[in-house]
Amino acid sequence: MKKHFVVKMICLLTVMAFGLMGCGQKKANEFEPVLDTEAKVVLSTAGFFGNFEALDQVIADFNQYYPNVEFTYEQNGMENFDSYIKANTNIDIMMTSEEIFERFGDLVGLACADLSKEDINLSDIDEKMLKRGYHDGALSAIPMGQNTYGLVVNVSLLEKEGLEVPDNYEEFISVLTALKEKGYAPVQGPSSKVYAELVQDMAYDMILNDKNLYNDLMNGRESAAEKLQPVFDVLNEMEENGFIDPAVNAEYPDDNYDQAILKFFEGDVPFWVCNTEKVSGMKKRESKSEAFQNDPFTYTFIYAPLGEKGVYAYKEPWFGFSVNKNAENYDYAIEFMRFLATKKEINTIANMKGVPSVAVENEDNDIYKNISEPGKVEMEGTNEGEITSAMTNAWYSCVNKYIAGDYASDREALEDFAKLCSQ
Amino acid sequence: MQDRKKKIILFICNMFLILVMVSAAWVYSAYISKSQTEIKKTDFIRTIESMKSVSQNYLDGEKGYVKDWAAYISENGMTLEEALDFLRSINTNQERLVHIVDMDSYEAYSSYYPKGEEKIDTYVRYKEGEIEADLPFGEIMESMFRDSGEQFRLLGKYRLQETQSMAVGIGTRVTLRTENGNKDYLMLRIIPVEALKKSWVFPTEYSSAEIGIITRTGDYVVQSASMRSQNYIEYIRGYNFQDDYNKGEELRETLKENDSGVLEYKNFKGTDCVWYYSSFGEDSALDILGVLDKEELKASVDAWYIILIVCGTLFVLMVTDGVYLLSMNHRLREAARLSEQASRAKTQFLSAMSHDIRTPLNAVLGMMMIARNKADDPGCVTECMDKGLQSGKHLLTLINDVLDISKIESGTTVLNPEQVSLTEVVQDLVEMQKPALAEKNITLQSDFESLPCRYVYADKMRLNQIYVNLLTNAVKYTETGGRIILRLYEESINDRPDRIRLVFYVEDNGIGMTEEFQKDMYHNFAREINTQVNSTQGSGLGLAIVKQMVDLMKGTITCKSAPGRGTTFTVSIDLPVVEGVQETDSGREELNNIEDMHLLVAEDNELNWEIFHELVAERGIVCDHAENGKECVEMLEKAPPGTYAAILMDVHMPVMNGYEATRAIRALQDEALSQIPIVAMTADAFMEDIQACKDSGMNGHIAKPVDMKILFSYLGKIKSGQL
Repeated sequence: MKKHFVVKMICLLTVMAFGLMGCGQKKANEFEPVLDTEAKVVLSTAGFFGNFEALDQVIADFNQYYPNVEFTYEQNGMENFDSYIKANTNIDIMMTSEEIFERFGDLVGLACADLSKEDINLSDIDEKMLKRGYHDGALSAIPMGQNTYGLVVNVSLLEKEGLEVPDNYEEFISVLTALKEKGYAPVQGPSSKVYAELVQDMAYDMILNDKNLYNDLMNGRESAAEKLQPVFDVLNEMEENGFIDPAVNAEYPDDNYDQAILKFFEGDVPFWVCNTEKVSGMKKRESKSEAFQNDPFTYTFIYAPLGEKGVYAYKEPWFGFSVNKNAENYDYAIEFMRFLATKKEINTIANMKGVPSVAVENEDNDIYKNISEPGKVEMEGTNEGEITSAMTNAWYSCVNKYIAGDYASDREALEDFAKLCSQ
Repeated sequence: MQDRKKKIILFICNMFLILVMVSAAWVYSAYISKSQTEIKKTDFIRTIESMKSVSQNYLDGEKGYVKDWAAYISENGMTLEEALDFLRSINTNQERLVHIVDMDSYEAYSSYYPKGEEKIDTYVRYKEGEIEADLPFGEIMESMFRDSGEQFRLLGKYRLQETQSMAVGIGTRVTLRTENGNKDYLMLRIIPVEALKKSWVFPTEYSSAEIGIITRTGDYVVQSASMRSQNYIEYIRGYNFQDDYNKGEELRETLKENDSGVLEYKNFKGTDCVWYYSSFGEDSALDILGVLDKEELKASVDAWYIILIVCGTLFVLMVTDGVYLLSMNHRLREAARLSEQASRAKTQFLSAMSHDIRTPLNAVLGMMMIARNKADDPGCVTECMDKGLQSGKHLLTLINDVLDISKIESGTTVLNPEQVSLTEVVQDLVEMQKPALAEKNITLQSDFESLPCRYVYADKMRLNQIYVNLLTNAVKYTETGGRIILRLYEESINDRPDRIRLVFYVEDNGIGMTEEFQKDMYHNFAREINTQVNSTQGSGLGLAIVKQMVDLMKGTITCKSAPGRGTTFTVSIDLPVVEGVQETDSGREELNNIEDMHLLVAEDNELNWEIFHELVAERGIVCDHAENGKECVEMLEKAPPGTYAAILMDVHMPVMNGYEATRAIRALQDEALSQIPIVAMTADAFMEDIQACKDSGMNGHIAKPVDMKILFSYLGKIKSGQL
């Protein structure tokens, strides 16, 4: 009797041990087709990009499983998105953005399927990046990459001047001072963006990491302005020291994506304030720039080193893909999303587009090595929905107006920002 | 070493030839493949051009609608509202819209919307640059408005405000009545891009082909599935020369400067494609664009198949030739070896013949000389003549053997079966050996009792040849006072009552043979090197002839022998039995009644005639001599009837040979003359010679030197009327 009890206990413990081992192992997200792979289907897609090689690549990969699934792609504008949705009620896959949801929330929400209810393994995607895709509890979109603001640094130029890429604010000021003395306009970018974007990560990280600050902002309290004062202190120092030259930046190409990149390739811009969307177009324009071809140099992308210890690392998801609830080929549209959600494809679409990936195990391009693994970090945060388009627009507005002298003081600008956020 | 060097050179040459052949096959295949590809490419281009015509016709048709409507509206002096009402009523195709554009302000009115809500700002937005457009919208609209001829101008593509779908427009001028008089407007027929796409149906032979329309700057007007991006040039740049941005600009220039052309670029899947563009017209600024996977242009017969076939064939040929050459070399070596062996054999044969012929010839000539020198001593002369005669007989045997073995080896020996009396065979055999047996005092123990079937069907001469050779050898190699046991008996064969197995058994207690010699004893000129053997006359052909004859009769021969203990040969031959033959002894009796026979002998050789005449004269036979065949015939004809009992006819004679003479005699009118028995008496002793004699009409054949016994046997048969 005692012997039987011992044997039973050993068996039970063995089973439990195996069970615990199983719990510790994450199931690999390997794509296996579940639909008829020979079916001839045309999936209609629409997006904001003109050239969308990244999507083409994922489609080409998808076609290895479903060779007869054809994709049509139509470019639509964000401003007419509502009209487009109304006119194309059966479109299969739509490119969406947070701005779309904010502008046409109800309509888009009604059109987008809840992807969390479909059999899609989302384990390969950073959970925080997914959170912003939820609207009213439904997962409306899977992001295709990250939107990150920072600085493109002309590493060769710094090295030529005996300088190193700065890791913290002190080093940054030191480098900017040296560059200024050598006759460079150290920080460049279009006037309408250069100030706001330079300190944006700092401000957003502070908001994300201080719930009181966030609440104060949402309620338009003056205390929020006080808490955000360090951001404007940085701005003031930049301006007072002439690190950001208004005259130079007034000439910096703004919305002209192509020209802005070519301007940097002229080779005399030490720090270019921009985001990953701009960076994504740099590689293929290297050959377009005669100046760069004649005198190539190395460059990298960094978070602005505005903290005492290091950078303010701020992350947020970029555009995403949604499936139309009324899609003509709903099953195949979902099947494509299942495919897109795998590690390989979510990395592919980001890499091809030239932006950092939202994959848990990302395989980013070399230019993002300082973003993927920032060495010294002052603060970091991921926008899970707290930072809205409206807040960003308010930020741009207040910063630019402050620089333009529309406010009596920086405190007034910040208070106005808080006020705008609360509306 | 030299041989190896040659082989290497031969191998290199072969490999070079194969390489040349394969290269030629590859070049040829590539040429064929290229030609076929060019043909397919031309077909594809022709198809795209026909698609262009289809599109132009389609759009011309659409333009026809708008022109008709514009004419009707203008002629009827309609106002804008009336025109829109009219268009709503006449344009039943809901997919197609009609826009009326005020060319001063670009404000437009759509028949799609209900009355009062028709105003749209699509063209104002393009005019004001709110919407980027690759083509100069205003310029195209002005061109249509001026309606300057048959130009092919297409507006768009652009997104319709009404349906949010992409469309192109084609239009003409229309005159509307306004409060301030008539005013010209642009009336546009709007065709959705999807509808335009549907007008193209590609032939099924091009599974991967697609078609679209692009502007001269690469923007798509109509875009197929694999034409990605918003601009063709950007698309090609993205998938073909990402590292060289300027190549895109080169492509842009190419499209601008040329009316048509073929391009080869990869598509977004990395597949090599052929792209063909062709302008819709100088002013259209539009190109039709077709794309096809290069794979589809490839020739159906892949060059590698041909190369593989050529390689395979060459390899098989090389192997076959190699094997054949090796085999041929082997055979040549074998032939050379055999030839050498034959040469050696010939030399050995000539040497043996020289010895074997000269020895008895020496004896004949020597004895003749002794006899002549001692002509006064009759005893000595007789002895010399006997010895000379014996040597002559041996010489004859030798020549016969040599001729026989030559004939056997040439494969021309055939058996001539006839009825054979076994009793006669036995008697002749024993009779023939009696003198030798007596001379050597050899005891012959014979047993011929077990011969119930007295007659068989066999080649008597060859059968005798076997038995005589074996018995002669036994006598020859048995020492004086020895013993020979001779048996000839029959054995029955199961299930074959018509045949018997005739067994010849001869055993002696002579010198015997070594085992080593027994292995070669049936070979030509095989004689054991032995002092006893060497002192005995022999050609070394006897056993070879015996073996060949036994084989020819499908019999068996076995031998048991040991040196000093004698030899036993057993020959078994299966023969058909001849039943119901009455034994007669008349032939022998007749031998005694041949005296006084009168014969006509045709013989051109005087010596032969003399010998013959003398020998037959001893038996009281009278002979007349004819020197050739013609004389023989004449003598026969001239002689009184019944003069000659028979003719002995030589074959090779001058004037007329024996065959001709025989045929002439047989052709005589006088039956008594034409039926006279004619026996050939010739040195042509082969079977075919005997047959030739018979064929010419002769009744028998006697080989020279003439065996008088045979002659007398023939004469006996003639005398008795058996021949």
